[in-house]
Amino acid sequence: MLTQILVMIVTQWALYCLLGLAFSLSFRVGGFFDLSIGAAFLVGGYSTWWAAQNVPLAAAFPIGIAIASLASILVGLWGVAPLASRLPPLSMFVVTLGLLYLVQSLAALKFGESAKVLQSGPNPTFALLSARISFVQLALVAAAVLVTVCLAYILAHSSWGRFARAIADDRSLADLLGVPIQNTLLKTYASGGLIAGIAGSLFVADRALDPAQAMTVLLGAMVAAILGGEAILGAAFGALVLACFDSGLGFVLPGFWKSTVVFCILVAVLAYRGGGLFRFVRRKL
Amino acid sequence: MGISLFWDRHRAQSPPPVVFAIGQEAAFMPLHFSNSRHTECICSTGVNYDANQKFIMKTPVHESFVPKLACTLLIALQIFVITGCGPEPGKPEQSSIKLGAVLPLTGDSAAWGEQGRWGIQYAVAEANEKGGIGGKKIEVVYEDSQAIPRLAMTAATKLTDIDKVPAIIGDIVSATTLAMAPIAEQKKTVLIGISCSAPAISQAGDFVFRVWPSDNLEGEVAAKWARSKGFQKAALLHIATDYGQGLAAVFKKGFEANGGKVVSIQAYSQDQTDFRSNLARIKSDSPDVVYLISYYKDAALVLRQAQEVGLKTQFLAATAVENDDLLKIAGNAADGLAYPTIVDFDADHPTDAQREFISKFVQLHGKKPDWAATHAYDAAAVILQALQAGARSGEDIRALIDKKREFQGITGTIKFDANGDVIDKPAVMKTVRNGKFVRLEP
Repeated sequence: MLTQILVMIVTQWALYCLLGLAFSLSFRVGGFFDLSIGAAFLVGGYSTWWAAQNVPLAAAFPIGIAIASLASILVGLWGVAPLASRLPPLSMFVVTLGLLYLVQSLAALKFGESAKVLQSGPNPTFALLSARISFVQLALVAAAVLVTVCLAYILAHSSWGRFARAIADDRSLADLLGVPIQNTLLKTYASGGLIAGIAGSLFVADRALDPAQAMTVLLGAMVAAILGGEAILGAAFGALVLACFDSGLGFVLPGFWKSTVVFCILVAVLAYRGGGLFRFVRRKL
Repeated sequence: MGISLFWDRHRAQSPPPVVFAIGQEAAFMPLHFSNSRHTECICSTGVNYDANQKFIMKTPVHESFVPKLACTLLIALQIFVITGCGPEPGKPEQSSIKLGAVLPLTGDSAAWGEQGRWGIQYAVAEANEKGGIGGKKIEVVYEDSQAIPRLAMTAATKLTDIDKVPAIIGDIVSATTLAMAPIAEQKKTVLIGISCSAPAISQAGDFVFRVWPSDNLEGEVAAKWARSKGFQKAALLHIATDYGQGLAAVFKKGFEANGGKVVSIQAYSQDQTDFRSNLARIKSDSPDVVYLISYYKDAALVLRQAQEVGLKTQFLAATAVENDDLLKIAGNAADGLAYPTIVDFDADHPTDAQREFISKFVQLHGKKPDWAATHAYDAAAVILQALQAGARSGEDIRALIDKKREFQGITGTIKFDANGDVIDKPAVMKTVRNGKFVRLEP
């Protein structure tokens, strides 16, 4: 029983972690609430589903993720990055909300409103101590760990990472020092799209995807990013806290109370620590 | 500061007829030129002023044209997509009678909404082919509820206040129907539910009717069947809506009245996609049967995930699970699922009248009608028969239904009781076998 709970917490963490990191990149570096992360999530999910109808399943995932990344690069290049370097955060919120609704509408028109699954029936599982875990869940956890580690390394050691952290710390100062704001924002946005695409791709394999799902998962991503504190990677820690409450509360509270309790906790945390739970991470990343 | 000096210089000389401003200083142009009566200022902010501070909407000058153009195109494209890529064909005719329909045309329950719309269209097309009502064509204004009460309320308000319809057909789910009921009562507009089954709808008002029986019947049939199979302990997993709570209460009462025991009750939120924690909890309570009160998508995910967490108990569900999407998503995990169905329509066992309906329906839409289509047809048929009898306003239609009580639909005779609930519907148990919905032998 305890093992099963832990499995559920870890798999739920993986989803929140991926989307939280994607959201956190735009939120911390770009300084705006990037709802188009939900759009990249949908593009990743639907592209993987579409690819799976035409190519073997193993090839569908990279195709889906590649399409989501490409879409993010194009949208970032022609829209979000130039606008983010000029528009105030509230305007960017509206722009990205528009993008999300557009992708939701296009997905509904192209693929219909019904839920899509990668394959019919339960996913293959294996025993892990006294619990059962599916291979898709395992892939989700592996992807979240890999993305977190890679992002931590890139943020710490690449020029883009340094620029991103500089902009996140003080955008005006970074601009004065010659940091290429627009270029950095473009790479940040594209990276967020890639990560959200991975999440969407694995989500459609684990559960069922419909256009309305984007907003639901985005809510978790926002909470994870805000709980995580001012560091970009804090979202990974925020996701863990969220997953503990989200999956753990399923055992003691009716499902519809979970969101209420989670948001009460968020309010309490922010009242106590306005910068989020993990401010210490900022010094490192 | 530099720009301010520029303004000062121009103000000292004769003011220019037009000034272009780019950047934040644009906002101060009306102040700088407040004494000039003829200077027109065109700003990069998108709003233009003349010196008298009147708005002049002209093409603004952009600092960077491409992003804003992209943004504009994005908004235009979105409007284009949302509005269905152009104006709707068949503008309202003045010589028509308008009816309203509120259905979940998008969202989780869209498959029912689509079937429901087709059912209504079929009934209306039949009436219009016969010359309409009193020489007037029937026109239906469709609104999308997404199965969300807030949206249903907005839709009902629009239909009653703007379209002034005498009757609204819908909704398919209980929560949205209950949300619309007070509006229907206040506006004296008949609201006829399609498949909403929450017991609370019986008391929702004088203008509220439904062509689907109350859950009191379905819950009792499910509870009796579970006990007849010897199941002692039941777990309930239900959607946290009026429908889910109502049916859970009826089942619990019926199951315990017949000697069983409900060992676990789990409610889940409407947007939930991961049920593993609920299922692990249920597994720990070791029930003999799990009664699942949900819509088809949630039910499919529950059945899939139950197998993934190793819960191999008998699942019993509500009628709402009968949809092809359940079979697509759940696959072989749906096999063995049992559910009661309180309708007198079964596409695999049709009556003669239903056979023709099914045939035409398949020709039109390429799909067999399900219970949502047939009951939407019935709901529309009740309203059309009331109109045929001379009723025109909401009050007339309500009075006529109350007086007549019996109507003919595709599912047979539709009889209403004093609460506006349909009565005398037969019940059968069905199951999923080899990827098909089939009747269970008694």
